[in-house]
Amino acid sequence: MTSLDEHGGRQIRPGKIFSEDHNKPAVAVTPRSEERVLEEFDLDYAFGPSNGISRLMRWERAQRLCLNPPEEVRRIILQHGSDSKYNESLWNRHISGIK
Amino acid sequence: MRNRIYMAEPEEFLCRPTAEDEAFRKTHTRSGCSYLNLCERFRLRERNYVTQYAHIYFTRLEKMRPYLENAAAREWAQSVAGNEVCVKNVKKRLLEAEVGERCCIIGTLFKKMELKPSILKEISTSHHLLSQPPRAKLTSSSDQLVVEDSSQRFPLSGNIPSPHLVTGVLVALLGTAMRGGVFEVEDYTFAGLPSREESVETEEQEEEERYVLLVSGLGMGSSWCDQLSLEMFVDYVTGQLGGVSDQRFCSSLVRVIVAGNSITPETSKNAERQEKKPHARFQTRNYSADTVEAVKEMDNFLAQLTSCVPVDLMPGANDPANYQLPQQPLHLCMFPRARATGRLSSLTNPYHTVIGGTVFMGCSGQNVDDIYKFSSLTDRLEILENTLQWRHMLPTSPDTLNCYPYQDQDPFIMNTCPHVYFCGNQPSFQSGRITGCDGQSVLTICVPSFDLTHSAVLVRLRGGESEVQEIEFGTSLSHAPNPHLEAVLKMQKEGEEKGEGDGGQESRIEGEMTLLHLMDDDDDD
Repeated sequence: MTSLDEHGGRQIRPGKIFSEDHNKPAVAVTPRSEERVLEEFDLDYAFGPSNGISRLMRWERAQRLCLNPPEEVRRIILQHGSDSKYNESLWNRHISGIK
Repeated sequence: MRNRIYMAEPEEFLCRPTAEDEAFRKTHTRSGCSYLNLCERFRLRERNYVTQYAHIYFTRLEKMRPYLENAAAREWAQSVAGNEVCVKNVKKRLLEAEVGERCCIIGTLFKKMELKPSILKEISTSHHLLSQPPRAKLTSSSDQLVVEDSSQRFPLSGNIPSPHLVTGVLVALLGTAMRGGVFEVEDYTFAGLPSREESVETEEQEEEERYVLLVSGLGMGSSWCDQLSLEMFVDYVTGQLGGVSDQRFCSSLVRVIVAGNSITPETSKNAERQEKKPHARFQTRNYSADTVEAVKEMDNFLAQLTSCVPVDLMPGANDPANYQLPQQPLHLCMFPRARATGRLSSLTNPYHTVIGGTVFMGCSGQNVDDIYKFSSLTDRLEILENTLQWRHMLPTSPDTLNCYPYQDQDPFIMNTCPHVYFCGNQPSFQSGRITGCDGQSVLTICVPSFDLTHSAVLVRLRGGESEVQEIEFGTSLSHAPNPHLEAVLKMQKEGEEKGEGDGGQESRIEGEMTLLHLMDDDDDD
């Protein structure tokens, strides 16, 4: 995920957190907590901005635009209900006063 | 191909009816027509104004990406050797473009403009601010075009017409990223016209001639409003004007579309002035706002029209509707008399219906006016056709044209190809025909503003081969030109000369005098 630019420095490219195969988590072996899965979904910019939009709506938007969002995220959100805090993006916890 | 759609028979006109004259006794029934209202996608259900505009830009780019990839493959794959590789490996992110590598990228254009009104500039110099005089064009020679997506941006140079393009247009570029961060453009392409949906049924179009009348900018409630022209318009549409053949012709008019700005902008300025002065309660009891009077006039006008023809009413920039696009339908409680007839449909501002198998799409003019301000193009028909090529009705929204902050969609992207594409409230009538790469043909119309030109536009419904003509309801008997139109065109010309535009557009003298003068339109096929 890094390459050398003309000055020999490392050019870090923010890569996708999820690997190409979306069914497998990027970090192998230890099962991640559900919250971690949802946070990684929020931070993956391939699915667009995550501030000010509920996770379920963002997942459905990615699905409609054929971006292949991971099925696991949707399952977790619906399991806890779409009006739970699992449906709010992680920015809502850090920015007060904005839904 | 005939130039005129219709001309009155001179021997029937203004003649006394004879006893044996069957035609005189005959009543003409207005033709029916199928009608499908597709404006639902512009209706706003919930209003959530907390979201930022980044979502709409993201959705726009991702939705248009497949169309741009197809356009790039179509344009470049065969033309030059070596392009095939580029086109097959269109970069998914601007980040992936390596320095010195010839590649194809897709992104949104952004134009850095010195003269674009900026709230930050106003606030930072609030005490010593010299107010900018209103200009017709806000372009300057220092404008810089940039392509960007969610990962990074490249300033552009090379073969790309920066003055003609505006912020928000989606583009596919073939070129090389240079050292220093600039992208050198060899060739560029846009998404192009959408494909036509074949499912729209073209019913019994060959049997009867059917017409739709487009009018905009009625300007009710203004001090210079020409009542006689408006009355003539209503009388013509309701068949009370002209001879028997005129009545027969008007019975084939199936719909009237009012494309915005039915209320004059004068009333909103007066209202602002009135509100600033504090009034004692007893002084305001019998005071009625100018807008209310204008709306009552509009109701009378619509009641007369809807007594015999269905009318579609669109809101415009000066109408009492919401400011953001898509403008929601004007509430029918404002038009009680017209609503009682049941033939008044109040629709949204980007307009989309199917009338008699012909797909109509259009806007009340805010899109073209905004692009006119921020690009060096002066021909408004060219701007309208460009929005078709860019496949987006309002590319400058939400940057300079206010629009609703959609979170998960961009409803202004054109998914199907219209047969007739119009924009209202333009200074003069223009029409043209544009053909897409699949052979789909679109009739483009700039509908003139009625209070300036006293003219409306007649469209003969024929699916992809629709024809158009301007009808003028001029009222002055002398050859004096319309002073208001002259003033507007002069101001526009001065504004263009001040700005960086390519010279002013020619001002036309609207001096046509006869009561029902049908003008030739050389742009007709």
